[in-house]
Amino acid sequence: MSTLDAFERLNLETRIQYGLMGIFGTLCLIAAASPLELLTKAVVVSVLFGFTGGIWISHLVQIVQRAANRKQAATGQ
Amino acid sequence: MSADAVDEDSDTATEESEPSTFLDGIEFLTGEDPSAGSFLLVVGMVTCVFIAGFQLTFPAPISWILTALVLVVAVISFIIGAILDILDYFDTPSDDARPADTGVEVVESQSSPDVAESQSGDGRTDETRAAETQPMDAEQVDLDPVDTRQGDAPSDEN
Repeated sequence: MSTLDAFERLNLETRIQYGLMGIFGTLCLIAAASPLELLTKAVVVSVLFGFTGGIWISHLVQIVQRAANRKQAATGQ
Repeated sequence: MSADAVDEDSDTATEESEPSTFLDGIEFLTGEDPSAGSFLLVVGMVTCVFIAGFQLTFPAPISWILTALVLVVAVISFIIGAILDILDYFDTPSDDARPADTGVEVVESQSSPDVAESQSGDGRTDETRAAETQPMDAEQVDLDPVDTRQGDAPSDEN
């Protein structure tokens, strides 16, 4: 319950990004284990992993931007 | 029977409460109260899970390509984590240098006030307060003659 409470206390953008990463990552692993044709499976898994990694890297870049703004504001004061 | 039921309930309550705080520290690594240890731990865990999944489900050329992509994302995450550490984003940057020492210090700092409070309930506060007030009284005694001498001097003049 406290995990869900902490998840609800997060920022809305962070919550959406974590949710999308969880969805695409889970679908990626499910597609990798699914009995599809090899080429189709490789394409689907690559696309889903690209979505997951792209959201993660963009989330990290956003966090770096916030941290840089906070650092600049702290040093300016 | 009821005592056993109560014990089982207490055990399940403690077992439920401890992993929840543990998951709070791991999952929300870039939300509230971020830490470098949870960040590195989550990146390493996710990297291992994806590499294992790709190696077990794909033949040789495709699995190596996907593994290389996962490692590239992990390396980028580590680089950005280092940048966040430089920017003082994480609460305790010294945890990376000395994780064991800081952990022991945190445990001692959390346990020592409880011990002091538990001992204060036993009646040792009077002794500690007496030990703390005695030097103050001694300083006041040392200061008082100066004040009395200064106070006595005009009285002698008068």
